[in-house]
Parts: sequence; C-alpha cells; structure tokens
Amino acid sequence: METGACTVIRTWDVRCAWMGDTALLLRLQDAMPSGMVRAMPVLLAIDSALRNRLAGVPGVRDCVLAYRSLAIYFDPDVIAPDELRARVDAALHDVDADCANEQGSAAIAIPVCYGGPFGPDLEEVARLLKLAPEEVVCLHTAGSYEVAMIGFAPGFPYLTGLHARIAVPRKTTPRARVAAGSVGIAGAQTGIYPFATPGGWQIIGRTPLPLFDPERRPPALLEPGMRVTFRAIDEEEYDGIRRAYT
Amino acid sequence: MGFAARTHDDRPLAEAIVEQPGLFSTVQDEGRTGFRRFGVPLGGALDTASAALANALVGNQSEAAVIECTGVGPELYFPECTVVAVCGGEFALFATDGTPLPTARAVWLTAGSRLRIGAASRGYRAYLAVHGGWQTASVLGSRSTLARYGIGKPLAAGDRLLYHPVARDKPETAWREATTGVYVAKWSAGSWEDTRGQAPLEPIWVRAVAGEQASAFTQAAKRAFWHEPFRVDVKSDRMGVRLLGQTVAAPVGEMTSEPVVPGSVQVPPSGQPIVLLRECQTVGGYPKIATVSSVDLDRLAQARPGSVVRFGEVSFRDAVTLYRRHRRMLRAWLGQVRAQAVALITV
Repeated sequence: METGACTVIRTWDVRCAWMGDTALLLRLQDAMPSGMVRAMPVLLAIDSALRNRLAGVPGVRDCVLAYRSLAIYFDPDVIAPDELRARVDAALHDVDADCANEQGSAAIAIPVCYGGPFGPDLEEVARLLKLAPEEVVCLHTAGSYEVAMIGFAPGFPYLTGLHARIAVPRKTTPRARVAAGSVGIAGAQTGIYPFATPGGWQIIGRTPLPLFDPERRPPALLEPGMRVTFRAIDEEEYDGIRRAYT
Repeated sequence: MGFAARTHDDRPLAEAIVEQPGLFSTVQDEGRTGFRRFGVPLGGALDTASAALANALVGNQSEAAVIECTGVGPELYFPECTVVAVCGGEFALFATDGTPLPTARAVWLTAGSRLRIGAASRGYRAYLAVHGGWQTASVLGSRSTLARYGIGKPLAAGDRLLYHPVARDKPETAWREATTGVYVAKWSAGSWEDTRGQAPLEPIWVRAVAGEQASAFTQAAKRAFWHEPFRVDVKSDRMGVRLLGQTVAAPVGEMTSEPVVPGSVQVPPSGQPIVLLRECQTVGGYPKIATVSSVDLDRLAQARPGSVVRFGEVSFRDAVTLYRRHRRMLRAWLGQVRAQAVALITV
C-alpha cells in the first residue's frame, strides 16, 4: 500500500491509494470543516478530466464513482502502475476549479405508483413516522434528489436529498425478493431497484420505467450527479407507461 | 472472436444439446469491461488461467466463450464433429459409453458424440472449451452469463448451444481412439513450473495486499486474518467466497460506500470475511482489511465449500511484479499450446 501526496481541489483534498494491484482509489477528504463546497461537483469534474486523459489508454478498464471516491480499474500487466499514476496526476491538474462548480442540470422525473401492492411498506413506514401514508408520499414527491452513486445492482441509484421527516431505517429482516422498479427508503437515502433482487429497503412504491436496459447506451437510466424528482401516478398510468416499454 | 481460420468457415453452426445441466454451469468469457460505472459487474470465468488453457488446447484465443462448471459438470450431445477440452479442477470426464477421458487435453468428438463432465475430486470449477468458442449472444460486449440480472441463464436440460463444427470428421495420427468416435490428443499441454491450470492443494494459500483501511482494524483482528485458517462457507458464490473461522473484528462505526474490486476482502459486522470474486458488485460499504493479489485470485476460484484458505501478505510492488511475471509466462505457454492445437486440428 502506498499513499501518494494529495491534490487540493477547491476545499477538498484528493488522496490516491492503490486498492489491491488492479485499482487506484481517489478519495475526497474535506479540508475545511464546514463543507463549503459539495463533493459531487468536484468528483464529476475529476471524472471528466480522467475520461479525457485516460480515453483509449491501453490497460485502463473502468472508472466507478461512489459518494466521495472514485476508482480507476486497470490491468497492471498492460499499464505500469507508475504510468497510470502519472496520467491520473496530470488529469487532477487539469481539473479547473471553476468547472467544479454546481451545474444546474435538468431533473429526470420518475413516475411512481405509491402504496398498495406496489408499495407494501408504505403503511408501516407511515406508522413508524407517525404520519399519514399520503403525507409520506407528499414529502417524497416534494423532494429534489441527486444520484450519489450507482451500485448494488446494475443501474441501482443511491439518491440523496430525502426529507429528514421521512428517513426511516431498513427493514429488520430483508425481503427475499423485491420487485423490479421498487422505490425504497433506507435511512436518509432513497433508491430504486432495477431488478428483482433480495433487499432490505422499505418499499413505498414502484416505477414502470426500466432503470437498466443492456440494449440501450448508456445502459443505465441514471448516472452519478443527475437530478431526480418523483411524480405520483395511479395504477392506470403505471400500466400505460409499462406497456409503452414492452 | 479469434479462432483458427479455415476449419469451419463455410459450415452452418451446430447446436449442442444440454442433456444434464450439472450443478451450476454457465457460459463465461473474459468478462465485461467499460460498464462498471453503471453497476455492471466485471464477471467472466473465475479461474481465468484454466479457462484460457482450455481455450488454447482447442486452438482458441483466450477471449472465446467457455462453459464454467461448478462441482458437477453437464452432459452434452454434439450432433456435429468438434474438438473440446476441459481444464481447471480435477473433474471426472466420460464419453457416451462411460469410457473415462483425460482432462487438460484436447478431445476430438465425431458427430453424434456425448460428453459427460462428472464430479470434481479436487478444486471446484472446470472449463469446457469448444473449438471456435461457444456462440451464445453477446450482451454489453461479452458472452458472460450474469443470471442475477437477466443476462443469460445457467444451463438447463434441453438448452441448445451453438458452436462451429470442424470440417473433418476424423483426426490425423496425432490422436488415439479412446472409444468409438472419440479421440484423445497424444500431446498434452505440458506442465509449467508453478502448475497453473491445476486445482491448488489445501490449505489454499493466497497472497493479499493490506489495504490502507487495514489501519482501522485492531491488532487482534489483523492477527486473526493473517495467521488463522478459514473455511469456505457453503453460501459462497460467483460474487464472493464467504469465510468462516476466528472472528476478525470489524471497526466500529458506519462506513461510506466505496468502489470495490475483485479480490477485496470485506469484513462485515459478523467478523467473517468475504473475498469478492469477479462477479462482485461495484461498490460496497464494509471495511476492507486486504485485497487478494491478482496472481492468486484464480486459486481462490477453486475453493469449494469446506476448503481451507490461508492468507499471506505481499507488498503492492511485489504483487504487481508477480502478476506481470505470471502473465508473461502464461502468455508464452498458451501461445505454444494454441499453435500446437491449431496445427493438429486444421492439418
């Protein structure tokens, strides 16, 4: 393990560390106590600079963004770690502090049919929060969210921006099968299951939109940094949208 | 796809029929790259060297699709002539009439042959390569099955798998007839000093690089991880090897999710480590005590439920050096095996 010197972008220290022998992890650490500048715009600016510098470089495989970190996957048989590190350092120098500013991108509105069979935990969530189910839906649709990370499953978005009043812990016993399209809450996050998988999030509704389609480019509907809102729909509209995609 | 030219160009594809699927058999290649940012696992054959050797033995490049067998392999019917090879763990291999066949060797199957891959006596995974590669659909640039997310499915009885038949029905003299219509190559892949392409002996030693998160673990936790043996849990799968043994105490407090890599050793609150394999998710929230070096990840793919695994520490620089040396030797070896195979299949 070797940790290199850090680069400072806005109020963030960017530290590099090798993760095993096939990945370089870039981690953002807040250099200022108050969190003056959000991590996401800085992360996106780094991602963009890396894409420019690393596009077409043999041996560079993938780049994955998470909340405050970013991993570059490489084949050490094709590109020497020192060479990769030099290219990454060059990319970090490319990052213009100004382009790490907030960008007001348009939000994607996700239609959701809340409650009933599509949101089997809505009643329980409302009871835990001492709210009416309608109030939970109202607070969920009123929010503006940001995709902080894609992970867990292909196309699964971890969304930040949930109203604190509807933050609720995961289920004590995870479900063996959560339906594809399920919209859930886990702590301060909300997210959408693109596939039927086991899962522990509290399910309050379901979207008819396909979150992941391997025939589409890009295959995922959402990417880190995108803005998302939710719009309540009834079952009829759910079926209509669903039919349009099948 | 790179495969030997002129052996099957003008012939229509043939369909192998799955008569018995085995325990868990999937089509795999070298995996999907370029889509991890969308949460798509790398995937692909877990024991990459064994899959590459199986491919080389039938004259294929390493990226050709193979069938990964787990514990017990499938039985297939081949309506047209082909050349196959099975490499990896020590699996029993039989022709139609029950005649035992060798693994790690090219086998010429004339039209109408059956091949049965039995149980593994050592190791856990084997790879069935067919000359020209299995011609299943490519999704996101790869033929690797990712059943969990609807990309392909494990083999089931009655499935049909496309392959390129070889043009000649009978081989030359470099092959001996094992039973009616089934010939075994007289030459083998030979051996290589560190016996890659064979199942490892137990305990399975794997080298790992300490993560920079390792400092978050207590001395007792690190001692348990680096000095104690672990047993492979039956709940292990292509995503990860779950280990049972002395508790490796996880650091207290919540961690922010970060990208993970095949080889990442995650320690959940239970204190029972999970070593991620190639089909792992792209991000994870558990603290990581170490990362298994690429050079030893293939060995871990041969760990079966109950296998004993031990870890040895290696520096980042040494891990890279070992891996590069391993790849260089593997490439040279595979090149020789492939050239020999191409010469003997296409003469």
